[in-house]
Amino acid sequence: MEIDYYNEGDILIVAPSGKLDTTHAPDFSKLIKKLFEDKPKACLIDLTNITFLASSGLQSILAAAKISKKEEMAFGVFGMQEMAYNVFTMSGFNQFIKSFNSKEEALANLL
Amino acid sequence: MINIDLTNMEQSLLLVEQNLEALTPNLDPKQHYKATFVCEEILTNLARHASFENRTPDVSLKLDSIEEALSLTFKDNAQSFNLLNHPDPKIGGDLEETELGGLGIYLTKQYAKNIQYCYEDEYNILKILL
Repeated sequence: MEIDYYNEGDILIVAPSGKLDTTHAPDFSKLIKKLFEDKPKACLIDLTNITFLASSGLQSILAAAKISKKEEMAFGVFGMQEMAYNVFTMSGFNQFIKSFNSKEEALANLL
Repeated sequence: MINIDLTNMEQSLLLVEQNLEALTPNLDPKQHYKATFVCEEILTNLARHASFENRTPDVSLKLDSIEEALSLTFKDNAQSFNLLNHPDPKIGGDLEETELGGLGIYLTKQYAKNIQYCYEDEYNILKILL
């Protein structure tokens, strides 16, 4: 699993690729915690290249969202493929985590 | 039948995927995703939470293609655990209320067309039809 990250203005964008599953979710969570130490104003998770999202991956996104709320940081995800979005919505995550179709839509609406 | 090594989940899940593709090379991608998802959740749950007490873990998975459906039969010698009796997490609350655990079993139940569980000869046998 590769995880890219960069800033677009005030927004930290984290872009994992491959499987966000029980094997790889811990690495993702570890990186998120480290990146959040710099207190970004907002964070977007780019899920465009996530081919498989398991509950452990969902949990790592949930943990990131919880830290963001505690730190008063805007948080959202974008670019989910069909089945990943299915997992996300069936878990009810769409009710409390902002989800966007594309990076452009996310950048225009997150803040 | 696939023998599962709970100490090497990455390899075990890869083996499951290879067997799944060999069994049903033309499987619908959504069905494939659901099968992989359920295997990951059930086996991860076993690796993280099951109690084998003094027994050496003996875990296996049997995949069967039945007409349009896919049958997954998990067998393990951990303490009895019937996921059908496991309470569902609260879905659709707010961020603070949503807890980190229980989603895998909940989603497995959502994806399954049918789930059968029994405990026989000190083995959990869980059959999931997708």
